[in-house]
Amino acid sequence: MKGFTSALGAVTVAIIGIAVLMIGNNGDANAQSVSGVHTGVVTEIETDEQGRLTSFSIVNSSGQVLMIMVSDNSPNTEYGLENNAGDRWVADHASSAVEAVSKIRDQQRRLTKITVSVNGDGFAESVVQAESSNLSSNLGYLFAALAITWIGLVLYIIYIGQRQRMLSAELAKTTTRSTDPED
Amino acid sequence: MTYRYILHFSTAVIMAFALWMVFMWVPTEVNQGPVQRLLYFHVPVAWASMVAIVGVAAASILYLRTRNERWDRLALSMAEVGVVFGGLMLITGMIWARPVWGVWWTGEAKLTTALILFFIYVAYLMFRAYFPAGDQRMRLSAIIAIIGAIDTPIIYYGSILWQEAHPPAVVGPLADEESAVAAQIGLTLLVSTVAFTMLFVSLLVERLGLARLESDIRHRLSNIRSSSSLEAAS
Repeated sequence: MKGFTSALGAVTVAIIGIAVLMIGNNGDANAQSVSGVHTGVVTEIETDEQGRLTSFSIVNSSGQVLMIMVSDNSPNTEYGLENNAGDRWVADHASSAVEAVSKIRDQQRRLTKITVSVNGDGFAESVVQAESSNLSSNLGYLFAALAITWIGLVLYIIYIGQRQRMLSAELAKTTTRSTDPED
Repeated sequence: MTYRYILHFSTAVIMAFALWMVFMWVPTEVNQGPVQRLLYFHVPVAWASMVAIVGVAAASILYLRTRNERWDRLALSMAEVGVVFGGLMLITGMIWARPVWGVWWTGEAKLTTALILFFIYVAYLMFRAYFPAGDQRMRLSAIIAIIGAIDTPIIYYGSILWQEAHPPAVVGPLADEESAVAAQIGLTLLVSTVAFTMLFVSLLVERLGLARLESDIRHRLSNIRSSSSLEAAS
């Protein structure tokens, strides 16, 4: 039990170290407005009382959460987003501010990346579908995760089996001692 | 003994079926690619680890009420299997996040509370390993477990309370109507969750047997010691 716990302690210290390094490398994870072109996954959507899209946040490939505002005048934000079937929806914010909510929410739900062009005031000039990434490129991640999962489970099963054998032997020894205490 | 074999055999069969569904039956998700299949591992192990901490807390409450040692053994066994599943939840989540979010980890609430859950398990097991055996250890570890269980609803509601990068629930009572998953994905997730839950129960049964053996040995050794000291005194 103590061996298992010590190993667990070492793993925990390693996880804390990795987490601290990762968070340190991520920079500012809080929402912020930044001008330029950004690509990321939608994390949060804000609407006004009429259900019109007012702003949304994306998390970019550095882990930064960027808050992006939309407007119907200077600039009138333009949209070009695809649904799951690949149908493209093209509109601008002045005419489709309510519909934009469901379209952006669809992107959020499917975890698709969008590319946003933001002006100096933090308003989006365009919100379009990001170029699709190479799907086969993330096969390695799947393999790594499965390997770790099954190796972890198998090691734990081996640990339980070994411990059971050891304790059974110890139990037999104590039984002998209790029936023949002079040994 | 027979029911254990039936349980392990059923677990193996349903796990094989779940793996067939994950890799052969369900189509590749169009936006995330192959890595989306991690959903069928990450969600079930996360579910099992949260069930485990609730189970640890429930068994601890029963121990405090009844002072029956078998509840303490159940709590310990659930915590140990739970820490394995909790670790796998964190690892599979991190590996999924790298290609989808571009980072291994973010400091958002859902991830942080899940990490805290893992630390609660570790703290519980470390306390048990290093505190001297006896009634006081069982009592204090039960209190740690009950306090630790507060984290579970926070994790579950995390993606609703703080809408950040972690995807919201797509199945269950918290799922948004608009976010219903495709039938094939939902069914595969369900079968996979059942398979991992059965794996959790199988491991728990074995770990419980181990805890019983440990307890037997402790009691026998203490009996031997007390009878030896009685003999020495007489």
